[in-house]
Amino acid sequence: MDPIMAQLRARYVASFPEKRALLQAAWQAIPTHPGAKMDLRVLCHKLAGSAPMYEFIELGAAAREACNAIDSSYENSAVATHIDSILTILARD
Amino acid sequence: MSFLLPPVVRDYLNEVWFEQRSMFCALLTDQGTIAQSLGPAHVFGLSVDAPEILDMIAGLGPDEHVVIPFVQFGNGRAAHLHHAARAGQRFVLLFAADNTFAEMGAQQQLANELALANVRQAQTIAALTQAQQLLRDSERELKRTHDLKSLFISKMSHEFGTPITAVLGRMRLLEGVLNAAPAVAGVAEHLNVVRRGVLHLHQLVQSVLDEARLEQGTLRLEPTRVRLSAIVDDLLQLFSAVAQEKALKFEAVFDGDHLLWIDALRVKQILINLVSNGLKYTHQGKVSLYMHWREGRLTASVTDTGPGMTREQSSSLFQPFKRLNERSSVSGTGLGLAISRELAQHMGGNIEVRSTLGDGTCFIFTMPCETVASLELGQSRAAKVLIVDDDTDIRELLCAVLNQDGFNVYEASNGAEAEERFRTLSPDVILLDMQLGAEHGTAVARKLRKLGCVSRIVALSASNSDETARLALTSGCDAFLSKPVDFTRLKELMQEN
Repeated sequence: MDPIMAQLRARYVASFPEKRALLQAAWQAIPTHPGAKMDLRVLCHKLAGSAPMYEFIELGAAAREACNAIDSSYENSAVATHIDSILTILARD
Repeated sequence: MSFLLPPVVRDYLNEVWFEQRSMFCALLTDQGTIAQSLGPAHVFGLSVDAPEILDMIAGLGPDEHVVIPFVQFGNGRAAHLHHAARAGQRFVLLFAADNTFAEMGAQQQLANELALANVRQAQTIAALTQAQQLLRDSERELKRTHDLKSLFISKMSHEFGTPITAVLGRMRLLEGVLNAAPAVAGVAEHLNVVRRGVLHLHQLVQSVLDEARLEQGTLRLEPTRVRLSAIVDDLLQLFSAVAQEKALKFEAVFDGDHLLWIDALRVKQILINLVSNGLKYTHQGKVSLYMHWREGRLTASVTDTGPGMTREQSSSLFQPFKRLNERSSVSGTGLGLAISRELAQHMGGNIEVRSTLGDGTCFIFTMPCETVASLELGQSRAAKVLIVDDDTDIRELLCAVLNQDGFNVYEASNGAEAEERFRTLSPDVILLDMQLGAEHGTAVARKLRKLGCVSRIVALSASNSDETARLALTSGCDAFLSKPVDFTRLKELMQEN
């Protein structure tokens, strides 16, 4: 891998704990703060855009699924599965 | 309490209270004469029982209660006068009122002064308003005259320039003819003198024209791609022979051969002025030019081993038509340095001078400029790319990729920043994310186009739907790329610019 790309990728991975914490906070805030769902969507949208560019294909796909679920469902339970997937990948990688 | 107190008390009061407080009291008879008095009448300049006060209350009825706020006595003292009638007794009281009187006088004086000051203030304001109006009129007139002068100079320079150019052209033809045919004795020499004169005139007209354009703000810059080494080579070619003629050494070096995006003609004009100045005034030693580009700034220093200058001379060096020594044998119009500095400032830079009398001079010219791309790649491509994305991760990645390929990359995280960066940078390409948080990229694209943006705008979106692409292209974007960005396609789009 290109050394600059490797460096950028390492920096991206280093940001996973922060991304995970932000996602968790937005997810947990949904029952009490209606605006949190939009925050969650923005976070997922960003992940869906950036993860594949850093070659984290699975993470990007999970984030895209989460975005679609947020857009198409009023039920939080339908979103929960995808958020769990994202959080798992972020914790694993 | 009876008015008539025991004599002991009366005396004590008279002594302690009435004396100290400068009070006087007179009890009147039914006939209006003074029956008894108490207090120091002499304080007010009156006789012992103060019969003078009877005149003051003449005409008042025996039962009338009257207070006269101020009575002034012959000795200058003032008092409040009370004429009262109580329980069948009629009396007159005097209370010293000097302080109050003085205060009132002072207050009146202050009021008078204030009124006067107000009048003067009004007069001053009127005068100032008039002066401001005059100043505005003068400024307008001065600007009109100045504009007329600049216009006249500009037109005249054009008028002079046209025949001079024709003469120069014909002279070149004539020189060709002379070279081909056997020369008549002396003709070549005469021609040479004429050529030098015409060239000098041409240079003079160009200088005056430049000065006029700079003053009018109509001088247009025409940036091109030029290598630092090419500028240095041109100057070496131009001045090596001149230096040799004067037995001087001329060196010109650069550090890092960057491909720059500058108005090469104007930059060279400045450097030619600085170097030729150095060579004119230096009689032994050398003139050196050193150029480098670092972090967005081009720097050129021209150092000579000439006679140097005093601080006063240095400070007036850049004034138009100002020559270091009016009686000097060195030729010149006194416009060169003034134009050079104005040109430098017109390009966002400046020229500074450091000199010590007897120890040479150093001119430092700096200006902001961008490299076109790294010389290693040596390809033609967009100079400036603005990445507009609210996601730091994506901006960092795109920056790294494009920087690596030699582009000058700038960032913005929202629409407002993008507008501000567009205004200051005029980027060649804008990579615009279609979802900037709550803002939509299409709105930003429309706004940029409205502002006159002619840059190539490439829309980026996490969505790859035809509808998103259509919306992007109809909002003013020139191309559409979905995320993850295909870097090969991105580079192709850059090459198309």
